[in-house]
Amino acid sequence: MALVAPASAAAARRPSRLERARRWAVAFCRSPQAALGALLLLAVAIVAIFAPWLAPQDPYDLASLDLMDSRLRPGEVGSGGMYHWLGTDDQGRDLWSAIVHGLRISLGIGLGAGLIAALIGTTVGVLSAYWGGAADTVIMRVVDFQLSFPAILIALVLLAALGPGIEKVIFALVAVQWAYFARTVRSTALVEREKDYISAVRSLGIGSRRIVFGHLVPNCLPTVLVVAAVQVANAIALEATLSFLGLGLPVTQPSLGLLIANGFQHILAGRTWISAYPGVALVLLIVAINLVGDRLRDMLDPRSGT
Amino acid sequence: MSDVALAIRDLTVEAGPKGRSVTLVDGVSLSVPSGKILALVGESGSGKSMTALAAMGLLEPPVRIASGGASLAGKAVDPTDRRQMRGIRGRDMAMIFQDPMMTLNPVMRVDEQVCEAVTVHDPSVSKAEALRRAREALVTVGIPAPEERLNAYPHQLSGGMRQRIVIAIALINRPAVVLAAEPTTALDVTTQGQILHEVKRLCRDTGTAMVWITHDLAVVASLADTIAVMYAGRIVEQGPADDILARPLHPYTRGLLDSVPMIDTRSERLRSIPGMPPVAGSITAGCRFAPRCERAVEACRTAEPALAPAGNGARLVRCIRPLDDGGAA
Amino acid sequence: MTLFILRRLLQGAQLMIVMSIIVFIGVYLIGNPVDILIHPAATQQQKAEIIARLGLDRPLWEQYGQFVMGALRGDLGTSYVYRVPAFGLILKALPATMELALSAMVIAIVVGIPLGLWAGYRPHSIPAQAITAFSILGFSLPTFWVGLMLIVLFSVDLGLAPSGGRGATVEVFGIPLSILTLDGLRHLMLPAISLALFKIGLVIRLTRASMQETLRQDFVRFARAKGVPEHRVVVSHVFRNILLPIVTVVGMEFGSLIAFAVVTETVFSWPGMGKLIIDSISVLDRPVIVAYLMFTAFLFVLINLLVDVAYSVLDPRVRLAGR
Repeated sequence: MALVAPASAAAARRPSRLERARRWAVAFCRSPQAALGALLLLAVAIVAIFAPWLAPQDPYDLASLDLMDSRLRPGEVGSGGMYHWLGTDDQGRDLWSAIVHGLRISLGIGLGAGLIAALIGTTVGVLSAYWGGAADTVIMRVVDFQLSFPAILIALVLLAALGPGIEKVIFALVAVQWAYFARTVRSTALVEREKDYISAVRSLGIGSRRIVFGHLVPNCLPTVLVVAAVQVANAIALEATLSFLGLGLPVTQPSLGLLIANGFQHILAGRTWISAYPGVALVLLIVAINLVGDRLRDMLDPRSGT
Repeated sequence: MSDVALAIRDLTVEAGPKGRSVTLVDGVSLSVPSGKILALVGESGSGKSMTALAAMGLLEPPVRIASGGASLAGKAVDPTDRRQMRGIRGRDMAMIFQDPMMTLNPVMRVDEQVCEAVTVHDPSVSKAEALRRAREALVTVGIPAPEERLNAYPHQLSGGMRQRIVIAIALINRPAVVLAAEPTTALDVTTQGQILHEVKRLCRDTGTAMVWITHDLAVVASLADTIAVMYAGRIVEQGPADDILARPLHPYTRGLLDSVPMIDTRSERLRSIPGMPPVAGSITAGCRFAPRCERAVEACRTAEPALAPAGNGARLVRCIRPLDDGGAA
Repeated sequence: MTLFILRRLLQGAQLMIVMSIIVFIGVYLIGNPVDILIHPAATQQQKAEIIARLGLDRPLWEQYGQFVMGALRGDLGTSYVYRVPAFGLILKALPATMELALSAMVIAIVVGIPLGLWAGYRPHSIPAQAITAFSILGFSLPTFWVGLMLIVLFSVDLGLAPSGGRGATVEVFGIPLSILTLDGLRHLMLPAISLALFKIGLVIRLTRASMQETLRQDFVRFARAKGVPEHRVVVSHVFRNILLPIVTVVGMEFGSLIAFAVVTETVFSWPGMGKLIIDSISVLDRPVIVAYLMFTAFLFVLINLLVDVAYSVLDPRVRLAGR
């Protein structure tokens, strides 16, 4: 405890956690694009969280759908008197409701896959750097091997083997993405490991587990956050792509990609809105994450130095 | 020597948005006669490199010239006139940079980089003629087997060799003046000595004037005819090199000399100047050196002294309490 | 140099072996092709006969052994669906994919590099900011949706280009090409642009970053100090320095273009390898899937090798150090 006391005394002199968070947020918003991205992301997150209350219709409740209402143009009023401001799809589903729920699924899968991949990749990357030697070589060989093939190809093969389903999509995304985390985290951890304080901690006789999880991992977190932003955006785009190809989610759980795929067959008939609007939602989501991620990299990565 | 190669008048360099701008170089005036070497001395951040870049018209936004002018071999030039400066740079006025490892383009062969200096100013020169002049220029700066060096890529040559080539490029068009920004600090002492010797000879022989920007007074002692000492964007002392080195008037110059190990001075202990130079933009009223000055009195903190003649008149100093006894404590 | 190439070849061979094992085991897990191939009314005996004929009753390692032996002879099995050699099917679809991927790469370079140079040269100007924003958009737009929207705009609304297929082709050395006929070019236009968009964003960002970094270098300042005019500073000093890394990255990205062609070909019904593999996955045509994956892996190894060799040949620093 004696070791900790001076540190907490120093912390007391520093501005409060809240104050630091506020200053950080102000610095973050100094880039207008990033502020816009953060705002957009917040809006999308709210829509996704409160989907059941924001959607006028439950798109999964087949009984509430009326085929008479199928393929209504945006702004038309359905048989039940419902105003479909984004139109309906070929099942008579209100497109706004479907998008709101689809956003929820897409964001959920992206975050879920990103989080698990970050967890696995960070652990592997830190351990690889900490162990060094043969273990490091083997792990990095595997990582390099995997990274030499495009993500979409690996996910495609995995899903072809596993079949559709939310958990399988998440598995495929994690399998693709952990390597990116492992590679980046390893190089950060390697730098961190060579720093003086780690050897100081070691000389205090602190166990390797505490060094890895108490010191190496926390110091790699900024890097992980930056990679995570990119990878969550990638996961969302990849899931949409796979679902579009018919290899992702089952039809009963329409993500944005599947909604777009459903509209595909109607495009040539001029009913373009069924694909267009879910796509706009998807693009807004990905752009928002990328804008925020770009800013995070600028702020957290000392090498970019802007 | 009355023909002035380069004169800079009241040069002020600013950075940042208008209204909230920061002054980096503040009313600097300099002049160098042909064939002479002026050492512009100061710590990093004193504005000495900015002065040179400004004179070359090589400042990049957000740094810009706020006011001031220059004349080159008696003719007025406007460093903010891009078109005019493009024709002058490399022909009448050349510049050498600090790190020879970084100054040559790594993917271009040496011959192309040397010849380019000729052909951009005179497109009528044939390739063969440009090559002949390139060989000649390399020989002038003491490079043996110039043919071989010309065919090489920069990474195949040593640091000293590269800096010689850079100097050859700077001198190839016989400019009136060369601005050299610490060109020997990245080299080892032996090479440094050779190059200094070579540069001095070249200036004398060709009548080229040189402004040698450095923080290293040991180099200055063996090279310069005159010295200008800069501190926080201002010239604080100026005069003949021997005089200043033997008898500094400004406490800052004294401090600089005390912090340099020199064999031929009486000073036995090495001292560093206490404190840090002010950050641009945080400059307050009074003498800029006052906060670090041992001799500062109240008057030093209220009004900034002017750069006034001192001693026999050949010297200028910006201090109300100069070290008139030469600082021998 | 020869040693370097030999070492890279050996690495490539290792990669192919690992890939073959993974692909084979992976594909073995994909459903049971018998259920799809055999008529539901077939008797048990008929089923057993077909299983035996396809070799599906042998142990996995034996099937793998046969597969490897066959692969070395260029025989990657016979398509269950088309009843022709799977490798032949892939080869037949290859030109279409290559044409598409190459066109996309050319578009990405021709559009991306100048925009990136501009954005990197004056990063604070309005056009540069617009270009940067566009590159983020290019990064963020999902390829398949861009394809759909291009169809909406150019095929449905404007009627300028067809929405699918390859159009008329001309045979050059026995290879059918769309790009040489006007009709083919109209067909190629949309898929190539949609595939290129993502890479344009990448090339812009890469060029912009290298440009900014190189402009800060002393040799650029020195070139200006020599009196080199600004356009020459950019073209012959900066551009020559950044060209090589850009070419390398773009070359490495060619593999990912071939992979992403899967999506574009599906959207535009472009008869290439990508469409073939998606169709094969949906009918569980194992040999074609295996052949596609092995061939793609081979292409990747080849591309990486070529890029590495090209890099070491082109960069004076690497080239001379290796001597």
